[in-house]
Amino acid sequence: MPGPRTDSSSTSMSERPVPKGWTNAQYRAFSPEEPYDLSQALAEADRCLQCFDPPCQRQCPASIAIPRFIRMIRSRNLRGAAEVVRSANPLANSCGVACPEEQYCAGACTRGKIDDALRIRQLHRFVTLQEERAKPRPASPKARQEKRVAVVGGGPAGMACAFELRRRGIAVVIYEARKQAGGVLTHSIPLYRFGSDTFSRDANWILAPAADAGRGRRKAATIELKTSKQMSSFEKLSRTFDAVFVSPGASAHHLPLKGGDLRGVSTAVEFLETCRRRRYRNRVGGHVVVIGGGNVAVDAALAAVRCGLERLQRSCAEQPQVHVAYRRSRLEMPAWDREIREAEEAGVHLHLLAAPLEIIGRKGRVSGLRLQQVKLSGLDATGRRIPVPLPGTEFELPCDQVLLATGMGLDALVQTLPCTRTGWVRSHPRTGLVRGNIYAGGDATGSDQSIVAAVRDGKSAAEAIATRLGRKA
Amino acid sequence: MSKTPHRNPASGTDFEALPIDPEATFEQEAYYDYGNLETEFCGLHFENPFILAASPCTDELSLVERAFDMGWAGAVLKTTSAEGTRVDLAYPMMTSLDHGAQRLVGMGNIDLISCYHVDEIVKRVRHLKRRFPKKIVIASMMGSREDDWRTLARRLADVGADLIECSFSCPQGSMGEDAGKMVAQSVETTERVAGWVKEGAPDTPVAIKITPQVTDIVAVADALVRAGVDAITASNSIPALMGIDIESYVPYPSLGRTSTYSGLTGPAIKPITLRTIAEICKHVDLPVLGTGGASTWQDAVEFMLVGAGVVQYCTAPMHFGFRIIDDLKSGLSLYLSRKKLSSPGALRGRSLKHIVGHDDLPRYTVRSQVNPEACIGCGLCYVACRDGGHEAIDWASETRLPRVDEDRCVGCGLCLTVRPVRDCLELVATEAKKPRRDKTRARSPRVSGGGY
Repeated sequence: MPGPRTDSSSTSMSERPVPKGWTNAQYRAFSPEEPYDLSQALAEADRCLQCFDPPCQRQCPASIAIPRFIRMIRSRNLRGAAEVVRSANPLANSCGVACPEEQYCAGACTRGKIDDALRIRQLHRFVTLQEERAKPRPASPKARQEKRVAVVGGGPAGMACAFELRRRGIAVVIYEARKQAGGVLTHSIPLYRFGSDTFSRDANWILAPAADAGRGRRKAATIELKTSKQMSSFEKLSRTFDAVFVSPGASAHHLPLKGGDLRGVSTAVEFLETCRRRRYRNRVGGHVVVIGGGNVAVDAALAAVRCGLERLQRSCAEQPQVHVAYRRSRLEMPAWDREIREAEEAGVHLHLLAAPLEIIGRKGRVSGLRLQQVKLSGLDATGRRIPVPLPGTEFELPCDQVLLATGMGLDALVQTLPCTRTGWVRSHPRTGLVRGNIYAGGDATGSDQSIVAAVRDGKSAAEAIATRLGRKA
Repeated sequence: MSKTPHRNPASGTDFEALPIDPEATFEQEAYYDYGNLETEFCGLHFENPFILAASPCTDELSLVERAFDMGWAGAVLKTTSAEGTRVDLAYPMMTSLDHGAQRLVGMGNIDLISCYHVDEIVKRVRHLKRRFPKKIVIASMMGSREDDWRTLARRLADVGADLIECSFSCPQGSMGEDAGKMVAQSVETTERVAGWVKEGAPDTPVAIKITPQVTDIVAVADALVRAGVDAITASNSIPALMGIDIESYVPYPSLGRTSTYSGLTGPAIKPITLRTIAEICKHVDLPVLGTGGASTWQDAVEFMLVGAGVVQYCTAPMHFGFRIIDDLKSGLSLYLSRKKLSSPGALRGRSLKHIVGHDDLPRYTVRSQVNPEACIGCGLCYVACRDGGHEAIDWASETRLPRVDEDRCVGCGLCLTVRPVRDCLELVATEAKKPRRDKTRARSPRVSGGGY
């Protein structure tokens, strides 16, 4: 049923009732956003000004021709619109659900200067979903190169790179460490917003045999998925393959904190993975403190709230108190503003300018977290403001679970590649070239942490690789 | 009236809803005085200049009664005919012309005149005049033989219709003299038939409803003056093909595998109606009932500014209901007080003197000018001028600011028509030249522009 258009921040409420004990804000935060239907999409598309030199497209890392696909929605050429979206962004479903549009297209939308920015992500999602009804398959590449490229890590960057390489007629082997490809999207991204099949639908599109495979005489270039146990070192890969794209993602690296080995302390990423696996029925403490200010920290805090609500439905358990402690101010929080707002509305307490000192334990279990108020002074090497402790402001937050989300870093194997001072793989900002025939992208290069930024890395590396291989041939 | 508790989705609280009467009119609540809406037209006193056009809105007594109760000043009852005239309707008959998500920018219909013949309409006029003595009841009629036109007019006049409107121009179907042609498309027929009607109803004002679909509207108006009629209703729906289902190749409205031409009404035809009224009022001195595309009170003001005395509505009430009268009255009344005018009649024809032939227009040197404060950086002016103008706007990608090249800009104003916000662009007159006098042309064309 076409519902009324909702405002830019809220998700549309479906007919399902708010579960007992949930606040409206919690319901909003934990419900999947309803996709647009045709009439909503047409009305929204109508609001587009069709800017020249469109700022939305400039801000889109995948460079989707946004005014073009919106013009196609207006004329109801929905498959044409979907082609525009998907040819620029093979992870169209994932980005349609989870792209932080305020950071990109919608943040730059000219319409926002008149009233509200266009809901570009929802339009993108609408055309993608519409097209999927027709079960599309990519056409096979026009030309084929007898080349093979290895992609290390089957997350968004690797997937996008593989797809783009195949489009250019290059065969790809993806080495994936886990049972399922998808990286963050299949392992830690919160289920309640992202949905369980969003990434797999993109993967189906990316890995699907070409629409005309088998018909033509040419054998279409393929994408093969292998486990990374079959992979040895980057050096060896770079010798056996024509090029290597490294996109292993990042793993949790946190501050060495006293008491980090107590029971009840874990990384936020582990916690998010457990939550997903156990469908938010895992046990959380009565008081949870998340240390950190990034998206992972905020997601973990929200997930903890959600776990409490899940328990509430089964028994009359007390709701957990969820805190986020961050040592800079809200302005410096790397998490996206909308996520922070949503978490606060759902009942997460923010403790800003609070640096963790140590985790206090009793009988081997966490019993609290000691923090100290700080003030911010000049910039450090990475351009962020340095927190300076204020003497005599130590305080204690009693808690029985601590989730660490203070930083991400690289796995040991990836660290064999040249790294930057901030601990990421050093790669060319445009092409992703690391050295020799090795390219890198995604979270491992310290990029934007969004799916679409990873897509950009994969796309641009694929283009650079194809150009390079084409030149040599 | 519902007394069930409602849940407020925003706050999640329950509240007792106030009783709502969906039939309540604005007038019951209004605190402004609508006195300035009264107007004299054709010797009749209208409580406001808003009346319903001959249409499905006026084809049932109950509808007209409701409209009168809600504040409409009058109604043209749907066109009636002599007893025994065959009215062979075909359904479905309505089509919406959409623009984007906007419905009914234009409405197409293949409706015909009323199925009610004159006996029934006579009864209705009598009833309405008795129940609503202050409302203006206009009977619309259409005949085929000379006798019909005279008899119909006489009967409607005898029963006390305030005004008789004759449809010479219903494009849907054809009931004119020549097959496939409207009466009002022939100057001679128009004059002759109008004469018969006036003879049938010598003491009741007679208005002839004409079509804009003619070569020379002034010739038709002159013919009506000669025939001695009292007013002109200008104008009517425009013959149109509403669109085609590109899957089945059948145009709209599709009746099985066939379709036909519709009469187009609604906001889409307003500019055509304005031109028609203006041309008539610039050349003849007959009162005009404006109709065709008016949907707001501003439209009514515009119709009156080119010479209409009262304005008829049809598509707008068919779309949103009779309740639009609340806004029509309120909007016009407040506008008139702001303009310090005592009656809508004071607006009549005020814009006519501003309409001149193209040759008589002054020749200005105007240039477009960007106001960087108001510019939102959409680039629409740039791309319009580049591809449909004189390549006179430059685009700075970094600042997203357009810049007008004064030497190339001719001041056509295309950029102003595409601007999404007010004030971002304006035309600045740099100098005025004297109007060019071209003696070689005997008469200036009445209509200019539009030829490509």
